[in-house]
Amino acid sequence: MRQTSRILRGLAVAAAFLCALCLGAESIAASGDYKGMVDGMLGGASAGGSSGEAYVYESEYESLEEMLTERGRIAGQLAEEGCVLLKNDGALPLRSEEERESGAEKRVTVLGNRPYTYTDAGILRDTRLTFYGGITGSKIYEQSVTTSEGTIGLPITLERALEGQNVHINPTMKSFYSDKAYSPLPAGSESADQAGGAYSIDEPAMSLGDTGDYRSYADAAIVVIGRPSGEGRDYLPGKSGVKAGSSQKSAIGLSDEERALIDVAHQISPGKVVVLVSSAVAMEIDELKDDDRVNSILWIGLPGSYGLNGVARVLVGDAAPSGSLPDIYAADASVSPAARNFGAGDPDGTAQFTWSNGSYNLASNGHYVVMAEGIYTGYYYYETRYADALLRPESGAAGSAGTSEGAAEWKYEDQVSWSFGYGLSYTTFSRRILPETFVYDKTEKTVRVDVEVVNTGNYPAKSTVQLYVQSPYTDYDQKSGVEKSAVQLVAFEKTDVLQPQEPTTITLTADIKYFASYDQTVSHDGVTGGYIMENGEYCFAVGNGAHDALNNILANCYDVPEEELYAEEGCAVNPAGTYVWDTGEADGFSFDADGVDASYFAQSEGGQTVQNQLQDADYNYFDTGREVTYLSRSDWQGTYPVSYTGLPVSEGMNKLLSENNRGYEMSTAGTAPDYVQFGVDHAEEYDENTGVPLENTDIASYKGKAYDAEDWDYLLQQITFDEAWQFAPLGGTNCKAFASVNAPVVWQIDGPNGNVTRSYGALAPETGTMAVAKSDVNAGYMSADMPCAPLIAATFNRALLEEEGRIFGEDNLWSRNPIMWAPGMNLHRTPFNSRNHEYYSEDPVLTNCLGVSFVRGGLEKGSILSAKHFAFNTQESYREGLCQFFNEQTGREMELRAFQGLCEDVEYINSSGNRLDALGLMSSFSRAGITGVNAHTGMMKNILRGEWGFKGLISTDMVSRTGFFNPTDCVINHVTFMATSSGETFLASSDWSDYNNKQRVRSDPAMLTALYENMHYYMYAIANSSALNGYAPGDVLADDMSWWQYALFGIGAGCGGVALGLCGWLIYAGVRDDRRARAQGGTEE
Amino acid sequence: MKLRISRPRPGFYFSAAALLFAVAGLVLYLVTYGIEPYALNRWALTCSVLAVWLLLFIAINTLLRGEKPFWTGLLFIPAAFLLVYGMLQFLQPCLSPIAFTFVSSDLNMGDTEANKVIAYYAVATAACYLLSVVCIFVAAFLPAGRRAAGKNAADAARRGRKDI
Repeated sequence: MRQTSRILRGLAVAAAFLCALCLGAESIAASGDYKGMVDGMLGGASAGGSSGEAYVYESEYESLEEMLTERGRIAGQLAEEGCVLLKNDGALPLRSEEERESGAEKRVTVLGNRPYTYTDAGILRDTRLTFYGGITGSKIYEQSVTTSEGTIGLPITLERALEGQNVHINPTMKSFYSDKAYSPLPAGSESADQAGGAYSIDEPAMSLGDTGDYRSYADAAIVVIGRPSGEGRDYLPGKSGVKAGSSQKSAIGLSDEERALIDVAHQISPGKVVVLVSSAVAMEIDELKDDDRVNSILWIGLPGSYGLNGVARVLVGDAAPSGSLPDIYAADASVSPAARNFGAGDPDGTAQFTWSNGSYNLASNGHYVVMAEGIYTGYYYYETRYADALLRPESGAAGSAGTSEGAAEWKYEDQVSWSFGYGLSYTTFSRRILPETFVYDKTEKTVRVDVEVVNTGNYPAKSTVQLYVQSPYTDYDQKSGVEKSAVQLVAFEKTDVLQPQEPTTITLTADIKYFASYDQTVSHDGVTGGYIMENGEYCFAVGNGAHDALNNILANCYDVPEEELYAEEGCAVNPAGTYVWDTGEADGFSFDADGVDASYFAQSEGGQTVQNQLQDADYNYFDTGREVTYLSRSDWQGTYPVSYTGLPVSEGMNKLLSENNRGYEMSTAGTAPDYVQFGVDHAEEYDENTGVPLENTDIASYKGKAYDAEDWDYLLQQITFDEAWQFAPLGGTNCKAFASVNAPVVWQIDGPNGNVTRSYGALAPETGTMAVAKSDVNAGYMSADMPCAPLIAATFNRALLEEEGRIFGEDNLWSRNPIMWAPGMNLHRTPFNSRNHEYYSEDPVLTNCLGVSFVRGGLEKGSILSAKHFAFNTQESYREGLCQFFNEQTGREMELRAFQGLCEDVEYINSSGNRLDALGLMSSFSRAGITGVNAHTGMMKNILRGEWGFKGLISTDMVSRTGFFNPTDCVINHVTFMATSSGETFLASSDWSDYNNKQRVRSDPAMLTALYENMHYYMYAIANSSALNGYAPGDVLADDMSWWQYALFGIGAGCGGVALGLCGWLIYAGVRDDRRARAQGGTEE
Repeated sequence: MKLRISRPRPGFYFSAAALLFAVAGLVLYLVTYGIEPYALNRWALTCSVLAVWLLLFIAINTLLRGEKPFWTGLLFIPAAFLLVYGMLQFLQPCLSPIAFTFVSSDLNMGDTEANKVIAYYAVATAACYLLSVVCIFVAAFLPAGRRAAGKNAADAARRGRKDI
């Protein structure tokens, strides 16, 4: 009996254990974060509407396989048009014209470890080598995609791409690298960790003896060099970024082992040495430019899973290169102005960007960066200084500040390897501005001009057409601290393939708002700060890149002798390459005595009065006893940035930092507008005139509606307060359902290179429209396979970007993820940001226009392509809570200008005839000054929602620290939801206690109004997306419990029952035994 | 009542071990939740504290024989339930960091170093909880009380039962 009791007691414990395990596991797995994943593995009910018929957005493709095949084709096209020929002494193309006709076989030797990332079976050998893509956020997956035609199949390695072109590679190299390529790289990161790590490329040492039968593979020697990319990592400028004893002068400079590859290549195939630069960051490879052993250099970025098909077509000559650099290539970027204040500390590695006083150096508020370079990042800096050295020597442009290794004089040719927008081809082009076509449109506030492009060579090719402008730099500008780049991109297009001698005419339209200057001192309409136009000559120019265009301006508009100009390879002064627009003779401007017009853009397109909003992002705004100096072209030597380490914080700054953005104090003052109501039941209401029941009481009735449609309140007022209140802080991974208006769960995925979050089979139904059967060979695939963003930017092809956006939209239809965190729109402030692979360029207008095209393409398929990270996510080091200091002009004309077009210029017309701009954004981790972006009223509420009139949803970046993400401030500043993955835990956080007090929120009229308006933004966004595919008016949200949830419940309940039963029996037996014992006369002590 | 302590039975040692592991797990959990951003989970804390109290109660009673061992033994059952449920509640927000640290770096978009610390603490905590449950399981099969001696042994023999 006693033995039996112990056994039963043990079994009861086991049953209780199983019961807790099943019930607990079900509650975890059923939460929004994991349910889709588990459904994907086991089959479940995560997606799909209840009617299955009401599809607004449908795929153009019959099957997933067909869509993926098209996706692969577009990826190849992007890489083909994006790769940039930087040097060519005849090694490319690999085939002559006659050989191309016959498809003659070629045999080449490929050197360098990066192309050998994959095994023959398509398995990624080592994730640390990101030849094809980045690490996290945009990683290239190793899964294969199988198609009936084998079009995509395994990821396209360089070997497979070349084999497809009948070019065979030396097999000895493959075995050489497969043995030793990836050791001894440190675990976890190939690039430097944030917070001061160092990095050295571990290219295996090799010699000619390692190349086997190289003589049989000597049609060319292809050397592949590059740098990886990844989230959470930065390269550090200069020597501070490399390991002790490294032969590299910087992390993005060449190592001795890489130089040795050039030696070996030259021995294998002299005169036919081709270097492929596979890097999303602009490497310091000036030495290759003048190296006679290197015959051709082709930049290929990170080409993704299928991009090398396009690269191979360029290599053999089936297509001519037509890409243009999206970033300037500096010889030594560590001495550039922006690099003086980047990362964790100064470039010498001697001091950190941390506060000198106080105890505020916590993980999320102890680091800062001063963007002391002002607007002079990338080519804005190099080209402006070049122009000033020629035209304004008194500015000190030719002085020693910012030179490498203590040179006494600053020379452009010493500093720059290749300029922004530069690119060669197998042919040549002439470009001529047609002055008679210049049109200034006063109403649209645009200028338009035609450019004639002629293929003057012997090779069919496309060409980028870039229009630049030089705005007048006046006495007023110098007096007021307004900075002007000597040349800036304002418009671009790409031609079709032009046959030899074929001309074409391209019309370029530039928005004046994108070359107006922001003056933080000017007054208008009773406020301070605004965009200005000036009375003077705005010089427009075309050219092969920014430098060529600037040379045209200098020669044609300033009569600088051609021999004083530095021209890049293949470039020469073009007398027909400029047009001067004198605003003094144009209508619509009202210049004051200083020649300034602040009224032209006094009102934004969103109807708001433009004024200063970012003063507190300037360190000098605070009284700390220290001042920072922003770079000015009026005095290059005196204002050249120093590294601002150890800055003090003031009392006011300290308060904001220590309170972690509690900028808004809840109050019961005031009243909410009448329309702000929650939990109203309109279902029983009837139209006053017709007596017909109102039908617009669920979200499915609002498909395609305009934001300002009158009947939104019917919908929004039905949402309960609890739904709205709980929605805001718990939006990670997916947006929760609203039962009150039958709005379903809306899934989100990351990121710019494609879906890294959820496979096709995870949410899709097995039958019906756009079904993905669990047995589908692609059901487990995630499509993070596109080329990196800079390679895409280098196409300068807006139509192609729209096509890419469309295929992303298709992808999101098939995977049932309406919200995607792409594109990456931050600027390349320096080449040291290892995450540059997710962002297009250093140029705000190029980034702006490409993002607009991409998002427009996605809207066509109902995809909420949501750009990130708004804004100032300029580095990875300490980015969670990083204080970024900048002046208002820099903020407005750089990062914010990149995002502006998404809110104002997308202009997609949906099937209901309503105009849509971008419907989503992700905010950044950073602080503008010391205020977190999410809590920054000036940036979020006044500029983004106000001036730009942004109507879509906004999510925070992934909340992993509560400290500087406060729901109260997010809500009040119209961030619609926060990306949390662990809701209950976050809600329990003391940092969020003010928001968690429901009654306080409910009693605050301003909070109520903000919550209501946020619901409007969110519902408007999903009503115009594929989120409502399959939902028809009258549908009720389906019970989406999956079979495995029922099973876990069942098992848990069963085990619980067993445990309880056994408990009961044990109690019964125990009592019985006691009674028996007592009956026998025993007593317990 | 006289306090008499004699040599414990094997089950007692497992009960004590279960208590120690549970306390260690609770301490580790408190350390983990103290790391940004993982705030306290009320269910995890409540379940863990209750389980520790139950185990403590079992251990003390077993040691002192101040209560019927029969009732004491039954408390293993809710203790096991509470520990496992508390552990899962605690683990839920840590799954992403754990996956990021031990499985794949693609599942996390947040701060990597902080997540690694979270993950290591979380795994250690979970290990303590699981070991505690294993000890409970074993203890449940074994006599958990103390060996009776002297008069007690005689009394027990007369009653025809020993502590279970």
